[in-house]
Amino acid sequence: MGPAKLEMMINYFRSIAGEMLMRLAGFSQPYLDKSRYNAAGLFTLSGDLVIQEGNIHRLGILPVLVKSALREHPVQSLARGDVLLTNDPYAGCPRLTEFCVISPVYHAGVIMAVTATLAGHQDAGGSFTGGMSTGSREIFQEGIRVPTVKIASGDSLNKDILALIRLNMRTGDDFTRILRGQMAANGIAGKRINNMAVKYGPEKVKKYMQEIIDYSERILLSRLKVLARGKSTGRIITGHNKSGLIMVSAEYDGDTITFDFSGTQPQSRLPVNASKGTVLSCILFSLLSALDLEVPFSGGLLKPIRVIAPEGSMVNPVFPAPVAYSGLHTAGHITGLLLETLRDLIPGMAAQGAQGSPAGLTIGNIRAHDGLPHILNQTLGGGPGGCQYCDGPDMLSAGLPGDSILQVEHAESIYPVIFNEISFIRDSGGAGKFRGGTGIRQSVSLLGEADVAISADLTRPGAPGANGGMDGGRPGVFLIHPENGVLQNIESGKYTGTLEKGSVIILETGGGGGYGSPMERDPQSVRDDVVDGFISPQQALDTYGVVLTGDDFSVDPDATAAKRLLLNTGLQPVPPCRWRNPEFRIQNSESQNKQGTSEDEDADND
Amino acid sequence: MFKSTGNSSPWTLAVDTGSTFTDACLYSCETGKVYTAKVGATPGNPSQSVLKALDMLCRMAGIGPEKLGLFLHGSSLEANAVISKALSKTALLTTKGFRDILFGRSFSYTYLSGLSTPGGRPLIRRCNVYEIDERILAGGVIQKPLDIREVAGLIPILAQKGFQSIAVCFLHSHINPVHEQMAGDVLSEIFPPPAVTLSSDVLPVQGELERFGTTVITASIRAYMAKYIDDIRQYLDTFGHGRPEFHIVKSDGGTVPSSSDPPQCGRAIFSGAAAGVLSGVHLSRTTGRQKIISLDMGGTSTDISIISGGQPEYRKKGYPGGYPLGFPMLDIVSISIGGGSIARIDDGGALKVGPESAGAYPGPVCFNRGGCLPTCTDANLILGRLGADSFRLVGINPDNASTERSIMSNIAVKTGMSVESAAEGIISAANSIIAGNIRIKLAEKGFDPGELALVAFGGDGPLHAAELARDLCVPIVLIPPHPGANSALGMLFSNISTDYHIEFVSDLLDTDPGFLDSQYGSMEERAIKEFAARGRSDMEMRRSANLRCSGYPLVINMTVPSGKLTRADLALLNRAFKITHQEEFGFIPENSDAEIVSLGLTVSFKKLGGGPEFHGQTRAFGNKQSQPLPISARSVYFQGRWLETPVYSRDEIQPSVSAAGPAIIEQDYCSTLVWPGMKFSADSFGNIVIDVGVS
Repeated sequence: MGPAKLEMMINYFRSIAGEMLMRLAGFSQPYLDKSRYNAAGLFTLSGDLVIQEGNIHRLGILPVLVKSALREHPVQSLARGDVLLTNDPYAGCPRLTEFCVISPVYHAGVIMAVTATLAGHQDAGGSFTGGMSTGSREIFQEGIRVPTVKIASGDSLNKDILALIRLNMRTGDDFTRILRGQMAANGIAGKRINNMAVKYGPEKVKKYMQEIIDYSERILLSRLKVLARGKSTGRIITGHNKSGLIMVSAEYDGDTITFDFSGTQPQSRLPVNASKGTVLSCILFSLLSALDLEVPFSGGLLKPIRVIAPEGSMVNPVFPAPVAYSGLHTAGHITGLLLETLRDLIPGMAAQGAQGSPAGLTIGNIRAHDGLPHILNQTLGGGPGGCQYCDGPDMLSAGLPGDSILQVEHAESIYPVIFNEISFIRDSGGAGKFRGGTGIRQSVSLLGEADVAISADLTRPGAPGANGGMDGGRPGVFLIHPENGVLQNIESGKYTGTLEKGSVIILETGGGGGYGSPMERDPQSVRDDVVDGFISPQQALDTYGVVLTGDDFSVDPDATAAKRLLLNTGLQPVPPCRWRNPEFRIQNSESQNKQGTSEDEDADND
Repeated sequence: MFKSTGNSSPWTLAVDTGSTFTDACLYSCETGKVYTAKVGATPGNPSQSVLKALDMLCRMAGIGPEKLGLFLHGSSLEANAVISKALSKTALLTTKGFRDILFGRSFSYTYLSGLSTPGGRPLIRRCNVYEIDERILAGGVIQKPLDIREVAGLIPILAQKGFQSIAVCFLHSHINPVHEQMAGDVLSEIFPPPAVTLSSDVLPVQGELERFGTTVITASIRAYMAKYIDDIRQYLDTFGHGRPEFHIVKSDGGTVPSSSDPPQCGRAIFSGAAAGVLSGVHLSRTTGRQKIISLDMGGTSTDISIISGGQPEYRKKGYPGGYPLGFPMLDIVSISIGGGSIARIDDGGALKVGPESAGAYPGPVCFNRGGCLPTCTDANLILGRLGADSFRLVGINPDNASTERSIMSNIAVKTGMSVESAAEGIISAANSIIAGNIRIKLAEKGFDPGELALVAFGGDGPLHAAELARDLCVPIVLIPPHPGANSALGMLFSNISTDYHIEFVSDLLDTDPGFLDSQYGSMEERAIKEFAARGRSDMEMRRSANLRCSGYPLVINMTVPSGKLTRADLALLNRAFKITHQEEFGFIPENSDAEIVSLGLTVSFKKLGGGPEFHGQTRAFGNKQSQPLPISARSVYFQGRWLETPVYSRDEIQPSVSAAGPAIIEQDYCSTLVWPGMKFSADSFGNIVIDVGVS
């Protein structure tokens, strides 16, 4: 195939995957569904990924799932109009609320490809709304686990299986709606591939698919050859007291890049275990970012990658490990760890401070204004790290590209909640020549009794800075009791329970790590940050060594130079980052909420 | 198209200000004659180039400027350029606790996007945002009343800091604007209009990210826009009593009279691209083709839009320069592929085109201005699809030898191809990106390519259209008479219309028809009052409702009968909705009826005249078919072989004519390419019609 034909085919196949996503999006409720997690892909008959589009943090899921589904249901056993469904984390799904739908593509009576979509659903049953109990100890508490089943044959849904699944979840109608969307998306891909088969002949089309796979592999190999060398190792502790240890070594031998997670601790009883698919997604995201590679996401990218993940560990859990929060927390840890480890393997890679920790909130069992039970799901992102060339941007986001926070007006019109505040936390961005992005505080009041699950990772210090940059602020979780107004600091960051009407939930996300020494930051930028309220005058002085005078905070250059000299020579110590607003006073409360439980991560970890 | 009504004069002028050129066209409603002109842009003082174009066209037409009945204005300037140039010093007053809403990021999935995270700093610095202790809840209930003294207390600070413009954005003000209005009243005492901008005036729609963002953009550019419009109006005023009516084209293809003060000025930000699509809409209506892909391919980018049922597709928001803008706008996809897009071979051996562009300077290699990397235009020259003559009007004598060398060394040698197949590969690769984007857009709307016609505009559209249509399996290509001055021409077809909306969610069949009557009635009364204030009573009103299946987000806009509504009307509407849902989306959930999402009223001026419109100049009708006479012939490369290809002048292609490809049809500023195996002729409106020959 010539270079122009190759490019045409790449664009054609990419557009098919794009069409699938659009079709699927047409079935999604923008403020209710987790459609931001969607992914869509085309596969060869041997289950190799030809092309995939969708959430950048979900690249590894479908390739793992489709392979495993086809092991149970060999392609020969799939008739025209058959549809497979699964949400099994031990096969690769990130959590039970993300369902994968797989369909064969037939042309002239012969199967010639497989298409698949991954979609975020609202709920999968289990002990807590959305499967998001922070107290899950087994997969059963997270919902119904669906092995790879034929949910449809001859294009008509198997009503028995569908009824069985629907009966086990809180939002059955929404499940059916998105399932239809996934089937429609697979259908449109089937139609397009049929068009191609008519135009070029089925054998040619299969050949083109293979060529795209080979192309991506060539690109990855050539980039690795130029940029990567040697071996490096890294470790990260994700829980208290050295529990939650994840270890990785990355080695490039000229042909293969191996990620070896040996030494990672056995699977946890907490819902933080990352499925194979999640781990592969982290690897792909880190590697593509590290190599600054824009390439069609095909199975060719997987060929040079070898993953060693001990079975039964946190990075390859087996039954009955719970997994619900691996996407919010563990995936972020693994991605951070991989980026750090790759920096030694790929010397040219741009350095940057780590991203601040996110916080997740699920409010369920609330009657929304339309009278239906709905699930409010909010992810708040941590501040991005400062990088070699620029500050980590300050933004109110969910922390991932493709992800946005719930808007206040939409949320308040659907759910019985009132937002009191969404704003930046002063001094929470890691100080540095390039400052880390600022963390976010959100405060929500409940207008009725509700089941609430909250999770923020408070087990670690703030996001580490790079190259002399300082750590970002840590996240926080607080509850205010409706009657006595006592503010309770949830020190573990985890809470699952029923809150009374009038309760207030306050979430804080971490700031990003800074890059480079704060002494090198342009004093004018420090001044701007003070004027804009991103940092306090005190931090400007203590941490950045910038002396500001007068009502308009103008920089005193001489005093600044003197101050910085003092700080640089160590004659005056740099105090630890003060990252809380002084006006926001926290009273640690002894009183535990009666109905709720707030867990300590260690309790069950041994 | 509408006829001017400002004075009795039959001439209409449409102007499109761009970054390098200002395009203008002058049109006579009586004769249907169109004059077009291009003048250099005057970025420092944009009204200057507008006035220059006006003078030029009046001289061409031999009329005095006082003959103008209507003046329409739009702009193709890049939106962020407009915004960054026009900023006034602006402060934001907002609800306590929500100072940082402007930092909100709303991403959506974009096809072929990279890993990078978009978004810049907000237009207003954080230190210029002031929190007011007030709160209105969903549904409009006041939780914390506004204390007017708090706003009054801020005024000295705002004045001392020298703010020129104040945006007021409170939560849920789209439902209950009372706090914003109270704050606005107090502020106006010191900051006279138009210095205070309320979000409930600008965009009374739920969603603070877009409403606040849009209000801030509007507040920031309002003064600049007002001055610019004033400059032009002052000039027009010198015509005295007979001065033309002056309208601004909006991003949704409608217009607003220039006299209506701009809390609405942000609505004009995408007007140039929107006007381009309007020619497609006009074409769809005149030719009776219900579904059209409009393709506007220029030097650096290609705009795609879908027209169905003679209506353009709308979306609710856009992101000019990364800032959320919540005004309704035509749904246009812009792709970074154009004549100047640069081709290369990547590490994996694929031929990539764009997004880097050689731009106008240095431009393609063949321009001989120092560009050395091969572009689409270079490839078209090497393939004979562009001739030396094609560059005459832009004053360039193309350099074939160095173009060939560049394609040879950058593409052909690296892959062992001939220069010709390398050049052909560049075109195919570029087309595949455009085709991919069209396919996704069609999927979003639920259309199949076989149902549509492709209408190609812009300098490069007619050259690529036939091949694109073939790859997409689109059966028909239309090339309108003036593909080069498309945006300015499109403005002639803009509607002078205003939209009114009421957000109202309810099951259609359970809704009291009397209540719906009263809702529509209140919008109609408001429209009549507002139009009367503009001295107009000759308008058409169209009631509509956005409907969906309960629980499903797919929304369909349905026309609602005017006059008193009955239960039977609603039942009929429900049935029509279900049929449309089935047609548009291919399914209808069981036991599901329509749910109202919002009610709308579109008010437009009655179209006057109604005779044959501007494309319909008297041309030969009838069945007599004849072969056109070529003006010359040259060798053109098609899929591996050189074919002797006749070159026709555009003027030759009359409705009576029918011929087969290969063919090249040349006119000022652009050429149309017809592939072997395709047939072409013209319709009675002067459009070239290419029968692509796909089934």
